[in-house]
Amino acid sequence: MIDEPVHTTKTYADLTAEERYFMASQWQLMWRKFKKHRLAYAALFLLGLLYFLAFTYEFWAPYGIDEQRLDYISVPPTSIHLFDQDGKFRGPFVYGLSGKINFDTFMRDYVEDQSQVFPLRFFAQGDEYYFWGAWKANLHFFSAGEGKIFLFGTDKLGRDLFSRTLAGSRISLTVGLIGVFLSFILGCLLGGISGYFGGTVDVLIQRLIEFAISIPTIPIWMALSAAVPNNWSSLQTYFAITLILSIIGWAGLARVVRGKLLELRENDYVMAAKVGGATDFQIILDHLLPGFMSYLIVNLTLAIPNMILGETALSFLGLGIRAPAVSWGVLIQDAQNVHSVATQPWMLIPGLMVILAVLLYNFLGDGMRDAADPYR
Amino acid sequence: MQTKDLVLEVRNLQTFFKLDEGMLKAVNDVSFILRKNSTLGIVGESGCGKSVTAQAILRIVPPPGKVTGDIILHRDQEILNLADLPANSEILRNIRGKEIAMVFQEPMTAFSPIHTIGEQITEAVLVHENVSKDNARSRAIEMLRKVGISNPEQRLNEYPSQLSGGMRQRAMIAMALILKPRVLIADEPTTALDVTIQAQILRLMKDLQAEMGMSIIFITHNLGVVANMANDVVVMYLGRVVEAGSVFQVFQNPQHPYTQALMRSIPKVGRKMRVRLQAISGNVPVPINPPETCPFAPRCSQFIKDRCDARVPDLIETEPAHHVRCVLYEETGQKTLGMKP
Amino acid sequence: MISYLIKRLLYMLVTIWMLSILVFIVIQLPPGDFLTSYIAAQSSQGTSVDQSQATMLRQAYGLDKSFPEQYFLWFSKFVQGDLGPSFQWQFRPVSDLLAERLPYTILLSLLTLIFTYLVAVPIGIYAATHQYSFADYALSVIGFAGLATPNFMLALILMYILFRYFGMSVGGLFSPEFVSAPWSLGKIEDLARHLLLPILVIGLGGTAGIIRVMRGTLLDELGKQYVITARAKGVPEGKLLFRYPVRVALNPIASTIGWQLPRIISGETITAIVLALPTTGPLLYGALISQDMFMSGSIVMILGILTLVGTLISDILLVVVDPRIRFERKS
Repeated sequence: MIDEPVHTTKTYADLTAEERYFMASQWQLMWRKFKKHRLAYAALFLLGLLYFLAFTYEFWAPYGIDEQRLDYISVPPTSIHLFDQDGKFRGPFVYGLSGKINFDTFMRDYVEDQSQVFPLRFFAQGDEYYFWGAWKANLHFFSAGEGKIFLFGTDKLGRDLFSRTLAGSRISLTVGLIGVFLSFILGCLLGGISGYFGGTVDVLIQRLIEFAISIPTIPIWMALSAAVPNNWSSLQTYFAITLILSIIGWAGLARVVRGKLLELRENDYVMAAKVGGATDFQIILDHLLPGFMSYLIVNLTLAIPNMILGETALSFLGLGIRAPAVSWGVLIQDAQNVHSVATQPWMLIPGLMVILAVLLYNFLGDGMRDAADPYR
Repeated sequence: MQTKDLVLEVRNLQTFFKLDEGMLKAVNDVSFILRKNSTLGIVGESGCGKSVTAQAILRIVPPPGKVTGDIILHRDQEILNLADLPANSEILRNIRGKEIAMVFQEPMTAFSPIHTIGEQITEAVLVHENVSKDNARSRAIEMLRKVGISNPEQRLNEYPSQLSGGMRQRAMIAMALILKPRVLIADEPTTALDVTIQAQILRLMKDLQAEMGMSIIFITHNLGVVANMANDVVVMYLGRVVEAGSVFQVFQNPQHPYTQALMRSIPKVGRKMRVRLQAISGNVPVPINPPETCPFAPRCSQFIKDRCDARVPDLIETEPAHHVRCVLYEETGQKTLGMKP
Repeated sequence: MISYLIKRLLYMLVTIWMLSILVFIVIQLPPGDFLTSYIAAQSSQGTSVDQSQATMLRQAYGLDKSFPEQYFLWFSKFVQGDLGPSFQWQFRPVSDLLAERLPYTILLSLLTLIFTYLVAVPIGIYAATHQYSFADYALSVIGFAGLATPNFMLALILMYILFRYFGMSVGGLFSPEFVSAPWSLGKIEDLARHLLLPILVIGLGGTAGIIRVMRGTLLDELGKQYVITARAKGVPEGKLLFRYPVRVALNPIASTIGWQLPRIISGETITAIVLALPTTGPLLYGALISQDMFMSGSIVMILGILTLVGTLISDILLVVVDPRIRFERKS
């Protein structure tokens, strides 16, 4: 009992649950703590779902994004019914739609034509599309056949907002990722150099960082975006915008990297490792980096929503992503004034997607931050 | 034992914290008495529950801690059970700082960094007495001088960061004693100080005790300090009292295996050289969901199977006012089983 | 402390200079100079600019000179207060046009700043002292919502609600009858009413962040030893809370007041466009679209300078307010 040897020959499977709790690795600990934060855990799944939908949107969208239907401009969202007017259960279906011009408002009024019933078909053949612009296919998740199903309504040109919103998610959700990735590289590089070398290099880079942080972002973003030529392709514009977003974004990260590096370097355990004979490389890898990584990941996660908001704002102003490319910001352009919002409130739905994505990222980042903090 | 003599009587004190991991029983059935003008030492390793005991007496245990038991304060004309009062009651607030005061281990963190020493000491007065600020200031200056701080008028306007460690601790003592409390609880007051400063602070406390006639509860893990300061000793382990008695009894005739092991681990002058110091094997466990056995059983060199791990031993009085919680003394009050100490 | 002030001031000036370089480069990025787009705009309107006139204009604005020369020309004029002519507005001096708008920008920014802190700090304190309560969760959800909603969307939604359910016409800073009227109590009242929506919209996002910081910092401080000491002294809980942990927790908040300005000015730019406020935002937008080089450059410069001055003031205030920093600087 008293003088038992300290080391044990038990395997992981032999450990009791309590012992496993106390012997978990750093990442296991963080994951366990992360799961406790239920909002963050849910956010992780929802975001995963959103990204999955974004990557495969052609399949989930019932229509193409450029199809204009002059007979169906500014249609409110279509309702899906289960029971017809006689109370009979018919499975999910939509009624036919007919529109008449209202000569008081000079807009179209749409009524459901209950004589026409179009059941929803799943995994149906529909309009052709090019998956990621490369593979031809025509399988859609759902379709109303001859009928029209506009889950989010249509815009002024009769384009299905639901399909366009799904399409827009691909750009809106990835601009943030790429932008943050670029900021990450720049930030780590400059922050790392600054923190590691110290001296004049540090001072110079610090001044640069302060400069980047203190200027108001939107005016600069606006000015930079306005400089992007109108005749560039959608793809080029896309990359230009991500570049612009990361030009300011890196500074915050660099400051964090530098600060953490300086702080961690001073820790006693670094000294202890040195005295114990570890090489500089080992110290960086085994001691500094772990204390670092989680902090970094949290910061990155929280930087993404800013990028999403930035792209949305720029596109909304017409300075960011431009037609025919679609992003949520581009879609909100149609809801630019009170009048539009009042008469076609469904045009704001892409904005709701933005709010959702930003909220989810914030919850996720919060949960990661709680999980990474060893002292709470 | 005369009740006229008593200042504080603690009976069956328990402080439990309900956590996700289980029930943390930081203080688990602790009893002791404190007499007038005497010093009680509470001794134990880190994590044995001594600081929480102090917090429990003043009822400043942070949530989710719950305090049960009796904490009886003997006043001239009445007695008061502090454990019965709600934690935020006005009566308790009046007692804190005025009748029972506390001094902490780390004076740098115990003082507010953004207020001057003067502001914090005068606050101690102004919170309890309706006097002018000037009056409070002059009393503070006088108190600072009494604890041996030179140039008190100037010190009053300084921030804690501007004082040395020893001066800070003196200032904290001044702040605690300015209203002449009957009980001073000192929670490891010298642990964070240099040895020479330590001696000065201890002497200061002894002098002030004699001058003001107060009782001290001295919490520490340092046996040498206990031997120096205390009249009576309580040895704690894992939230329980394992031995209690006068300082002579406990030091000259330690009975609990834990106390004996503590005594053995002190380096003594005149000892044989080249003999290893005897450490106590194992570590102090965290008292979460502690088993109902002798708390020291897993580390005890005199462990007896089926007796020490069967139930919690009772406190037995082996000689007048000397109590021990160990199965070795259960039958006759004398040690009957096991090896010689 | 004086040396710190001087150093800080110098840094700010250097930063302003760096900003001017950045702004100049950005303004010049679009292909062609202003003249080409001016001519294009004129011809689309039906008037044509003949060659000699074009050359004259080119020379007058130094467009035939090299890039660095143009920069020095522009910068030296700028620091003297000559912000150049606006091409959109028939060559009226930019400074005139800005003078009409800048005061409202500053007013709105300052009011939003005050609003943000007045709302966020008490909520943060409440959330920290009532951790995990329903109110705590509810407030953080609202805060998050404010953080997540793009400014302009919030503006649109609120505009819609006010219009649809309250019949209020919002937008702009003045009702039609007061726009060109002289200043009176009524006009001020009208202004105040119209300011509510922009302040709310711009401020909400920052509120969430400050609540989080306040809550977190206060929670940290509440567990610290000096709070226990004060309690052991018998200080009543309410006084204890505000005199000690709140005061300490306010320091990092106070130190970053100025740093809210970049966010506020950014938010104000977009919100103003949506709400059609007579501030610098819509002016900048119009200038960028029509390549009004002097206008857009000046506005970005001025917004940047406003921000930098604000952060300077905030840094100075921090040194004055926090005794710990004062003493660290002395030694």
